[in-house]
Amino acid sequence: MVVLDEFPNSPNEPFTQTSHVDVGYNCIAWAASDNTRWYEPDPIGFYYWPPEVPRAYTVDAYINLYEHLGYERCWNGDLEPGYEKIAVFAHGPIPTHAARQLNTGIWTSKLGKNIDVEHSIPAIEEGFYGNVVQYLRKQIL
Amino acid sequence: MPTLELFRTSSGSTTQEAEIVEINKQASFEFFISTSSYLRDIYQDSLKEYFDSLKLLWLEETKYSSNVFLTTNHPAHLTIVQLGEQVLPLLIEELQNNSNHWFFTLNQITGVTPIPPEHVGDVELMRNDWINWANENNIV
Repeated sequence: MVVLDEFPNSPNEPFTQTSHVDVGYNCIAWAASDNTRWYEPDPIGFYYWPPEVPRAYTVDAYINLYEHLGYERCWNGDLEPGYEKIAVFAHGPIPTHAARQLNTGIWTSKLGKNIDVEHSIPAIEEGFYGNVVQYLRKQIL
Repeated sequence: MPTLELFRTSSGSTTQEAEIVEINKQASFEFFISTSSYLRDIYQDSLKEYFDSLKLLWLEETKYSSNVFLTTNHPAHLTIVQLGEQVLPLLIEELQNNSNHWFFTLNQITGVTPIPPEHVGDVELMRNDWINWANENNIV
């Protein structure tokens, strides 16, 4: 177990560190199962962002990113056999984070430039990243 | 060292003689600093100490963020950028030793983007691009 002040629900929910600090990828990439690049729609273009997706710090652009990667919008984060799910978090209109559901139902997240954690959705919500604003799912072949 | 305050008149303005003294004093001081390796070392040490304090604060308070728009507008980062070209060697040293995201800091100070399209998003390759740029431009 790990407890971080930025996530006030973490002491009372599943929240486990699963990696060392790694600055090479971020949560947006990790949710897409990519630990080789940093995904971000920065204005200069230093970071990776598919050219087909609007390069903007908006919730819609972040949802479009995952739709571009084959995910579709869905209603909740319940475990569904045959599907992998992603949760997009935001603080108001600003997208802040994404997490990916594992086949156990638990979620995995990269915390910025810091560590990976496995957690429940409530463990992350109401903290540094705000709350889930959209779930997406993709069929696992 | 006397200050300009001693030459201030009752009306609050300074005399022409006092201004000349002040200008010469400043010029002498800058000349002395630039020719004294001892003072230059002291200055570099204090600059590094200041940079390190800003760096630690910035890294700590932005470590969970994936939004460069927010992280580069952090007050500590803005202060580092304001320090300008004199911190370029320190930034490159950071890249060499700690592999962190100083790409936007370097860009904001230099106006340069030495990252080819095929390296976009790959932090390790981008780090090497900036180190190579620094070597080619005698920054370190």
